[in-house]
Amino acid sequence: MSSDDAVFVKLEAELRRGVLVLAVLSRLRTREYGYSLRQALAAGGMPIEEGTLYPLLRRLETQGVLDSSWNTDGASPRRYYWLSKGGTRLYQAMSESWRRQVGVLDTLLD
Amino acid sequence: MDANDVIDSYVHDVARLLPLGKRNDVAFELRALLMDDLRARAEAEGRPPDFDMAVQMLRAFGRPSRTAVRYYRPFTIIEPSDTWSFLVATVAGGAVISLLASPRAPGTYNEMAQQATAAFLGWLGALVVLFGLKNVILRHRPDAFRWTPRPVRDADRASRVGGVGLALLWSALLVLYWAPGRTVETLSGGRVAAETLTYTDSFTSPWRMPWLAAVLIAAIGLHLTVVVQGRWRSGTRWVRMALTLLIGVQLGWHARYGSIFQDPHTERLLTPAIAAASGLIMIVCGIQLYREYSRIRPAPAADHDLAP
Repeated sequence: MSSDDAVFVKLEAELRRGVLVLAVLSRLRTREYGYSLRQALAAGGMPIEEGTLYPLLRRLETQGVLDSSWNTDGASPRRYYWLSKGGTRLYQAMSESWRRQVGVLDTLLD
Repeated sequence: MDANDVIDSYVHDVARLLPLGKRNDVAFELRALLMDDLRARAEAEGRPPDFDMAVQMLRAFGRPSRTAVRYYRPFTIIEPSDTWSFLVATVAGGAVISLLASPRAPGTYNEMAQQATAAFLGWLGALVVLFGLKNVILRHRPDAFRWTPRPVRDADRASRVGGVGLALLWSALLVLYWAPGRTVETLSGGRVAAETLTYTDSFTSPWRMPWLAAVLIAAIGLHLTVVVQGRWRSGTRWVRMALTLLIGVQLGWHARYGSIFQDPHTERLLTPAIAAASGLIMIVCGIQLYREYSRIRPAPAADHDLAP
């Protein structure tokens, strides 16, 4: 990989990191557990490493953005996450902010 | 160990780095998630999960310590921005301790080394406590240790009065060094006999005493040059460092090899002091060298042209 490619990969990863939380919140308008959420994000074009996603869910729950509960009925225990009431409001605010940012960036890039 | 054991091992290594209140719940969830990931990987590869597959998956996941940090950011004892200050303080303290821990008598090297090691570890511990305390204060009061402006000192500005004073001081030291007995006898009004500070014949031989005298003469010349030029320049700074190093080495050489004074009492009293002075001067030389390399001289890097 040339040094230019390496710089691009690094900066692109930073760009994706900036929108990661919003992408995760967008999928948690319905209940998901860690593995299924990762599959849903990958299918939507936003692959994310497990080592990044699983701790992020915990952090968002600690911040009150998500609620969660255990489901131990099946063969594997699963902790399901979904947007809390505060998280829903936060998601809407962040979505509007994102759309504004996209507009601003489109102007800057022209 | 099978694949389950590998996952259990990893989960255990992550959980033990987490706070007590979090570890069980995180361990339970992380284990379930890693089992799901392993099953998916086995399905994709068309073979049952095994030890190697589990290890490969978990190595790609990341070291347990890094995973634990993502779940819970631990308290850092030393603020990362203080790392350099901590290192400088450690080295400087270590240098002073090694200087002070000089052997009192032949054959006490082991005792000296033990004392110096204990003192250094105590110093290191004190630094950890001080820097840790600063970090705790900053976490609770981010406004603490607020930056305040102070004038940037022109380190190269040379006071003419100070320079003449230093030249006179070096001259006095040269006189004292060349004829210590007569000088002290004169200054004490005869109360200290010249014989107590008479050098041995071996010390006054051409191979020992005269060299330091030459260095002292050079030091006098250097300070007078700086007085004329009005400031220190790169050349004079490097000469100063070289002379400081030479003085330190020569004093150390004098103290280490052969006797200096004819009077045994004077020899016993002054030789350790000369050795200590040598060590102190070497530290000063180290500080001069550090300051020379760490000087801040705002200028564009050599390979970048200024915009027209």
